[in-house]
Amino acid sequence: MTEIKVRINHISKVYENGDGIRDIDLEIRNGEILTLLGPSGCGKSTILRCLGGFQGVDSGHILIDGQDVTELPANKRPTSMVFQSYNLWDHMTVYENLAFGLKLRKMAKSKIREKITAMLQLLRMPEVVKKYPSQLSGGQQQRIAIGRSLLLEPSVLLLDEPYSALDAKIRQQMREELKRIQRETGVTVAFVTHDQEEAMALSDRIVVMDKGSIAQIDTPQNIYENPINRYTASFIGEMNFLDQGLDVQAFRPEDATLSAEHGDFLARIDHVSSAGHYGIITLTYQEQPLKIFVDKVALAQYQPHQQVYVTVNKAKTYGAPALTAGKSGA
Amino acid sequence: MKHLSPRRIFYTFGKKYVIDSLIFIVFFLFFFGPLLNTAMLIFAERYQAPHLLPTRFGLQWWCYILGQPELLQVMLNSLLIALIATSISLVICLPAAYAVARLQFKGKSFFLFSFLLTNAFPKIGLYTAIGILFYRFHLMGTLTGVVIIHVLNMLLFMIWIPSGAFQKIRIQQEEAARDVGAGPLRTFLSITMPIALPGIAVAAMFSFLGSLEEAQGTLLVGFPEVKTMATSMYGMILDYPPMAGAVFSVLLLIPTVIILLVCRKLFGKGILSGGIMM
Repeated sequence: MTEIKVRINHISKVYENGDGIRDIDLEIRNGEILTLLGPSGCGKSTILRCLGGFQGVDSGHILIDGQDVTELPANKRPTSMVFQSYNLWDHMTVYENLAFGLKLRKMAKSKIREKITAMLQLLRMPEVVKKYPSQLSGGQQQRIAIGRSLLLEPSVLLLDEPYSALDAKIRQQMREELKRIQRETGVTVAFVTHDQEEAMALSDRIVVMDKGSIAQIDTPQNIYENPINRYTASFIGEMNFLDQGLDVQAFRPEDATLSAEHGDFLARIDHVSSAGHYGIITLTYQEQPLKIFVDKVALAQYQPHQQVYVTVNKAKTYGAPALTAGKSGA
Repeated sequence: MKHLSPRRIFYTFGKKYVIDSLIFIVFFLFFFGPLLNTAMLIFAERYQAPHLLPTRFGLQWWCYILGQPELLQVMLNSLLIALIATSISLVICLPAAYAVARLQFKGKSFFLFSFLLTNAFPKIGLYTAIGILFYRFHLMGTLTGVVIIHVLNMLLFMIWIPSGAFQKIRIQQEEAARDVGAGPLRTFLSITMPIALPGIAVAAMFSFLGSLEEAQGTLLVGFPEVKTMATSMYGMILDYPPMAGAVFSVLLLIPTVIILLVCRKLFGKGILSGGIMM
């Protein structure tokens, strides 16, 4: 796992409107799924497009398998990209779509047939071979696009929000599918998404991006448990922030407990609701909103407007941002 | 007879149905009336003023027209000029159409607008100006000169329609081709062109048909050396009774109908509507 597949050395690419990436330094390990996560405009797609050769860089270098590819055009790079949509060529059948890249590599016809059959087997959709892209569902099209990329045995598979145009239920299936395919092929994957849930479910490591820079790189678990700053804390999972003058105390909704008799501080319940297997209670403490998860059995004992004690079991403290520091109530 | 009274029909079928039918009949006569008249004329032998219908029917004018020694040569000229002009304009216009669709460059809207501008002027004035140039370059009365005129007439269609077709192609589809290892030219030939083909085919077809019936410029530049079906038509209309013109126009129609049928066969029924969707 420690072998480095891709090394991104201090690359920058700033667009005319000021968006872009600045001094990105990043390594992708062999056989991992690395996710670039951030809101739109944070530069995550730019990094991927730089990797794929669709975007030149202002400065810095990109090395894939130890080879400098910074100046190579997309068709000469050992990468393969799957876009958000419109990946497939409408005028070709699924078979022709899959075969196009292999033909360019002058592979023998029988070998191409063999590889495509095996790939459709891996994707578990051998029945679509003669169909046209317009006859497939959105999810199927994306799977074929991933298959087409995998057939070329790329050093890195680049996925640019490949599932964001699909509906939630399909998206979940596609994640499972991608993890399975990645396990079976061992391919290195760089995945771009703005969906933190998707990043958590898929990744070996997550790169949290903030305005063109990297905010934090770590495993999903570590990022969830130890967000390095307030930005990461607010972006990954749900987090309560309590303004305490100079510092901000942050804790997860599941890291606090409620009690009618004793606790750290007293807060007023605003709303009680059930999310099925657990309950969600929103409260107000010193004019700041809080959200706490409680056991579904305990949910019945709380009503709106009730005063309850809150105990924070696990919290992190960040420096208060300048903007909200003046509002502190204590 | 009482079932045929207009009042009864009006209230039986409803106001909307009757009005729609009337509008349909008016349009039908408007579009097909001249054709029906032509259909009648081509089988007429004698047709003079006081009579509503021809007084004698026959194939006399067919024999006359088909007996013309020049006919075959003139038809071949027309087809040859249309073929050369369409091919040349494809080579010139497709890259231009692609540039218009994909690239942002200074003066792009002016470039597109300029084609409309040349079409807004009376053509005859343009041809006269071109004629002055052609005299200098010894292009008057040559095939080259006529082809240049025809290509000029095709520019608007051949750039606007294909550029609409190119615009419909998603940039990701081209990027995906680059991604799997295709160079720029291979991407254009294997991905961009085939997806844009319906639009290109429609433009080429319109240009070809337009060239077949182009008479004004051909007459000015090519006369008397280069004769096409369309220019011969002028002489025919001026010198002979309407029956000769009718027969000749039906002959002119044949290549057009054949091309339309071939295009429909090759590209499917949707081509005429699907190809020019912008």
